[in-house]
Amino acid sequence: MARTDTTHDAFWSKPGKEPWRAAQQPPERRRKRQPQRRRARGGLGTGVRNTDARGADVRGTDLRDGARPRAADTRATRATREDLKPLDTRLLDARLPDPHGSVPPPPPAVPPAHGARRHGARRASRAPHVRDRRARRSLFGASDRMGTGAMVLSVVVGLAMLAIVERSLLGGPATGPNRQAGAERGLADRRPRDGAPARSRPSAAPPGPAAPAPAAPPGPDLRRLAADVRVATVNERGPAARAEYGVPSVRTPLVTVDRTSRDRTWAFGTTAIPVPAGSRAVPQIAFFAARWTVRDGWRTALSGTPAFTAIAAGLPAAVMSAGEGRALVRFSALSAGRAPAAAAADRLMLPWRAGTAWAMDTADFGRPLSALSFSGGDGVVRAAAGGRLYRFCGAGLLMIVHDSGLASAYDGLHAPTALRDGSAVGRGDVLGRTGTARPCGGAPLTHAQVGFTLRRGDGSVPLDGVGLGGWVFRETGAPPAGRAERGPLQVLPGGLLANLGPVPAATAPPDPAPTGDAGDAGDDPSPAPEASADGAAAGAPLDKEPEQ
Amino acid sequence: MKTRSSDDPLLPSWVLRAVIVGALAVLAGAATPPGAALAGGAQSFLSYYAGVFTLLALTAAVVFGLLATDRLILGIRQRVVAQAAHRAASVLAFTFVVAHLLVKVLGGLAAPAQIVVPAVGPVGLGTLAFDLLLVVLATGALRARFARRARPWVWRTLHSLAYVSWPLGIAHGLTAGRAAAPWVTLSYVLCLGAVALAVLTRSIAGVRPRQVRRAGEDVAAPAPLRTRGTAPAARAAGARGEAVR
Repeated sequence: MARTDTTHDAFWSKPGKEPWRAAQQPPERRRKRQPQRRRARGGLGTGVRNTDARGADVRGTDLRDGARPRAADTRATRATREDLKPLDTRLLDARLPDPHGSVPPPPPAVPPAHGARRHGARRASRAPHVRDRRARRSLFGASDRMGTGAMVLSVVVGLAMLAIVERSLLGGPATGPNRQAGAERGLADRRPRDGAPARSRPSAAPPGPAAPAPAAPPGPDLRRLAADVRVATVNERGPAARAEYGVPSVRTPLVTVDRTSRDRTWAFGTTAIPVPAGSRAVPQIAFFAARWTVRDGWRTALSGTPAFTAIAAGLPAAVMSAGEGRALVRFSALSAGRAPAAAAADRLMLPWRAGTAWAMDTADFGRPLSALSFSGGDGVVRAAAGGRLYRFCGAGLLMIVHDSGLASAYDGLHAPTALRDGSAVGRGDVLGRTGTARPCGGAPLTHAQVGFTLRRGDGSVPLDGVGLGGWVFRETGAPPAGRAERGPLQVLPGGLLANLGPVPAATAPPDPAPTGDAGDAGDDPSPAPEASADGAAAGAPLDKEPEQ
Repeated sequence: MKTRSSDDPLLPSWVLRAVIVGALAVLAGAATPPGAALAGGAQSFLSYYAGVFTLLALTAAVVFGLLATDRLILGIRQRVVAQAAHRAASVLAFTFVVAHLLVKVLGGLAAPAQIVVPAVGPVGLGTLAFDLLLVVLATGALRARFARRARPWVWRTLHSLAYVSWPLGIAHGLTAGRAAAPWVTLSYVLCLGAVALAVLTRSIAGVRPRQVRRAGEDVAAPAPLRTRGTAPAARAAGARGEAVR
């Protein structure tokens, strides 16, 4: 019965179950132990005694005096007597019926005394034992429950892992909303991409947008995806591009598949229609999101369409984080009417160091404020506001999707930043240097500059009425001309424009008076220098408080 | 009193059968579309939370393990419960760290080599913590063996690697992945401080060498109180304890 396996077991083993301890106790208590009673009943004819003990309840009161001598038997003497015996006999004694009890002559008189004493003794000395046992049971129950709970939870997690591993091994087009899709931008290929297009850029190779893959392969095919995206780009953006570029047909779109899920059934990337060499138009660019299913093949959607919202919202988290997906959905859904308010909400500044002045030029085609170009200063182009960075046409055209959904695009950068697509940038972060590169095509440039446009999901946002860096840009005049205004100050194309930082455009409410009398002076470039000088002078004290 | 003996099998035999049946059911179910959806949901959930659960379980394991050694405040029973909680939390920590690694590797967010080979960076911290955790868990599982070979100090030294692994894991959790909320950072820092304090207390209070008691000696100590016997009885009880052992 003695268990010696661990220290704790010995701690917790019941003293009554130890034979030697049972032997040490007074005989009348010894007999109450369950196992001993069973042994006694089987072996040595104490059945009579037991019946006597039962009968004791009837006669117990008047015969109590007979018990007194037994109870008065001092425990010390009995203990010493017991201790003198060798262990074996003590163990034997524990099994035998009570020797003291059987020797005294009046057998019927003794057991009632046992019974009377037993009840008292149990109440007095065994109550703590019972409490102990209960406490112990609850304690061990708590321990066992904890261990069992941990094991059960582990098994559940293990089963879940089994399912996950199976799904990822099966791969292929699963139908779950959020499959075990790994980001292709794993840690292994997380490297800066400067200049050269790093990912699959099949735009240069296949000639036509309608070049289909020979046969539908069993799994998703990224070349097929690029072809599909090209077709979609030409279909959706082609008319606008032809009108803006002034050409009857457009060239093959530049498609970059930026990310795919591990099983290649989800994809996200960028597309752009290159500008012809003779035009200085703003390139048409868009994001695309695509999903491949066995039944439908690739389903692609360009930003600015409801389908894009649907697919982008379903992109697995491993391809695109939820926050990024929401930002792109906002970008895609931004309407033209809300664009100026969005610019104000983003507190856009001009794309260079606040407090310095660069030369401004407006577009020389279409609407003058469809695009701006800036040059001069230290040549370092900076983010107009915080957001997420993406690149188009390889790497030369950067676009930052701001929190409101409005995006600012920076064209023709030299040495653009090596941040990954989707990286978060803050206002004023360096994006690159002004340059003469034309990554999306177009007429060559004569001097280093950065082309600046605002974008929303399905096209560019005219800068008319938009506040940037404390200035409000306006188109006025019969042949429309663009200018920047701030209160009484104006900057005309070719003039120096001071970046006042992220000053809310509300501080410079559009004033119709200077707009009216400046309208006839719009084609005269001579007032521009002093106006810009004023602007720069005014900018110096102002840029202190909003410096980021 | 039903307490599990260490000789009993760890689990009832039907548990293994139930687990096997469940595994087969899961394998079959994950091949169906709704099962795939569920598996995807489980994966995204685990990808997001397995690391957090690992850190929580590891924190609990360290705290309860430390509590179980405390002899200043807690009684024996509380210490036994603390030890059970320590074991349960350790099992959970191991489960979740394995789930964390598997999900991250399957999701393409970590290279398989990064599980074992530490590198510089936030992920490398986690790798280092995991390696140390393996040692700690191995010693925890082989505790009885260490104790029987009478080399408790080896075990104690190896097992106290947890005090290195756990802060590394917390540093990994706070630096890698998404940014932690301020209250999360604060809780971990408080936890680290409390544990550091407790370890300091333990190292100071534990200077006195522990008396390693064998089974019989343990029962010998309370014997005089229970039997209210005389001195020879107590002495004899000690002798009997030896005999029983």
